[in-house]
Amino acid sequence: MFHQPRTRHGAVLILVAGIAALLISISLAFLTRMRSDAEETVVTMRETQARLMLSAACNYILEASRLGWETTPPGEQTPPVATRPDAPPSPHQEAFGWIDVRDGRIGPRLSQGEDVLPVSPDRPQGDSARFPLFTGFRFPMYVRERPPYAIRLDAVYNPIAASGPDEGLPWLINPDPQPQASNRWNGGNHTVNPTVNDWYDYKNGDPRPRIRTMNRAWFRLWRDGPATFVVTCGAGGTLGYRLKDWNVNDPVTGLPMVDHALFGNDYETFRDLDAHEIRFWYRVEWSAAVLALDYHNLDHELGIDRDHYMSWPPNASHTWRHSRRTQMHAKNMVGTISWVQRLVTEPTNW
Amino acid sequence: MPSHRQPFQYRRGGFTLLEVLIATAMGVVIIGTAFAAFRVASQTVTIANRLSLENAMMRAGFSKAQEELDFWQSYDDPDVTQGEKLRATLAPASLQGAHGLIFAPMATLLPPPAASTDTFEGAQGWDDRAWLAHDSRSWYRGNMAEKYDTALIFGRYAIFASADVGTTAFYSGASTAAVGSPPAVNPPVAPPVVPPIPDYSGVAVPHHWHDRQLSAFLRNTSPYMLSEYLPANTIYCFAETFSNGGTDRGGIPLMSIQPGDENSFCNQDGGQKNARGKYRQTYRTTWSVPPNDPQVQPGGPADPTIFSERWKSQRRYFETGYASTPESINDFVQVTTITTPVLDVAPTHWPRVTLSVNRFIKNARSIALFRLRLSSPVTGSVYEVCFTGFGTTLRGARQQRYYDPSDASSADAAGRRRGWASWDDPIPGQTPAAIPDPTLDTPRL
Repeated sequence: MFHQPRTRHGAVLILVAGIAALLISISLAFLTRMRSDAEETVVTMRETQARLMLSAACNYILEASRLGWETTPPGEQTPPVATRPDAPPSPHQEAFGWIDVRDGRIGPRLSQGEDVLPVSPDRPQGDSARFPLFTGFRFPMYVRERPPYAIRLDAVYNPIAASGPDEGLPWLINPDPQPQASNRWNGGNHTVNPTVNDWYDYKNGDPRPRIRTMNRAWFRLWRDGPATFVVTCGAGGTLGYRLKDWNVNDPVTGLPMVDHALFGNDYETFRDLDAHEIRFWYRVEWSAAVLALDYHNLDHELGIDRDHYMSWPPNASHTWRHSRRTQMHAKNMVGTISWVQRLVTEPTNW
Repeated sequence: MPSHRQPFQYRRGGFTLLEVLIATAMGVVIIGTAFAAFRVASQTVTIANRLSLENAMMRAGFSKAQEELDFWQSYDDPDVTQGEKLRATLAPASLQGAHGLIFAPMATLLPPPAASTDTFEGAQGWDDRAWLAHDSRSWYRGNMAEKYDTALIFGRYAIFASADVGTTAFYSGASTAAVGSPPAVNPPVAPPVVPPIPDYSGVAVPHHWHDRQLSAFLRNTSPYMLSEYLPANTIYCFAETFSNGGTDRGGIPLMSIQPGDENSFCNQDGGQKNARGKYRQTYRTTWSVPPNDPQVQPGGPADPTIFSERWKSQRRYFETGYASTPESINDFVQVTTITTPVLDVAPTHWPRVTLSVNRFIKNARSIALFRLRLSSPVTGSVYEVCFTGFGTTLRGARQQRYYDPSDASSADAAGRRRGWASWDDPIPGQTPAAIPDPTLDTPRL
């Protein structure tokens, strides 16, 4: 009487175990395949990240042709103003291109034509000393915890009068937008009382990198001509440091070219990161040329059949006076990239 | 007792018909369930494999697209015999130099430098150090507001700049022949009144370089190449010696200002005859790079007739803007698309992935548009991923390609070495010194 139930239990067990094994094997096969796919996609993802760096590098070249240059030279800048609230902000100067549009001298130089950095015995390059010919810079990319001048994305409510002479009118008594940093806004009595430190906190942002955005991609620029640059686009963990620089000291500062501490002072770790990195080399040329103002130079819809010197403002866009307007047609006031060339082989300097 | 038990034990060892039927039924159910389970498992694994294969194929297609983005090998592949499909040039006597496709060597396109005129303003040929904003040679000196048939109401700009050195002749007013005709406008307008025009003969024209460059580029290259080589703010207009039917009275060639059909340089946006830049020329229409069929026939020289047709298609514009129609969009897609399989050889049950690329300029922007299309022969499903990319431009692609007609070290039938040009950037004085290979853009080969 006891044999048959045990046999049935055994059969059920075999069935359940078999089906479970089947399901497990299916799941494992599926997961293994998906993991394999995901691992193979990492290469594609890194390649994409490296390519994004080409756009970032070109944007830097374009904007730095005219913007962002301090009057003080590198290494002589005032400490971050967040630590010195009383320090005056370092003025930015407008420049006129990697090749100055006024006289063709190497730039960038300031509005009065003087050097951004005057020639001195320790700075023989003069006006190109910020980015001298035959020098390179490293640009590790990450997202800051809070960028400069960050504002809150949520709207700030302002009450609307429900009665009285102002009925229906919004009382714009709460500043909108609000800064992401504190300005000691009191919504109760509608006041803001920022301190000097609050202002600099807002102005400077929080420069700390967001951890999850680090060690993903970087680019390097090597100025090989007045307006030509070798762009190295990388995706990986080297932060743009070069393997061949591990034991090389900077001729100016005497410090190692590679910050060993970032890699645990371990050459093998750095070499492993280097080996698994994707790098592309490009060469690009900057041009001072912006888009031609040809479309807006004629008002051909006045209904008068003659020519006019009427010129629409560059950002007025479409000339349909009686109809819609659109955004400006991309007059890029920081120049254009004339051409981009992927280099077939790794250049000596980058 | 044993005799009574034996039959009983014997019966216990067998099966009744009912037991057999039940056991059979249960067996069928169990086997069927197991079979179904294994079948599902098998299908699951098969589908997982198929999806994985599709993913792998799409990744391969994406990688191929990135390579294509940077190396333009669908248009010109220096690694493959007969891969240089867009290098032909044609030099009719009526033009200054040759006109050619987008990978024609620059030395064969622009007139070679002439010693007697190779001066600051008289220089000609391609110079990659020129076209700088501060260089007065590169400034346009015409009148952008001039339109329709000019009556010289804004002056005669050919006295300031001309493509012809020392031989510029002006319209003297002696000819009464109509010069062009006003384009159709709504409402119709009367032709402009042409006042008597004084004779400017004897005027020394001071500027030539800009107009010579424009003339050579406009006549000898395609619009796509023109727009990639000249600065973004270039006005595609110049002046030259007056010719009845060839220029307006101001000496401006009609080809650079007169709206025409799709074989013309100017599109019909606005119906106006005026100087234009890149935006105006690509606002209503698109400049593209039609690949067409290989022009250089295997084992034979270029066929000028075929090339002439291909050259037209290189220069033509495509209606893709506000005046476009489904037919014109189809025309653009069909003529300008290059489609290649991601894998040349693959098992028949594998998904088929093709990569299409269109390169064109629209609204002054250079665009490389890719379409990755996957079709499954198993399920019949088709899906497509479209994306654009930012990579090597045409000029960069030309600088990638080795070209030296005098190099016979590894020459092909045409007497030149194939392959890619090497480039390096050692600091001056650093050894070994960099000796960049000559490329399609090397000006004076």
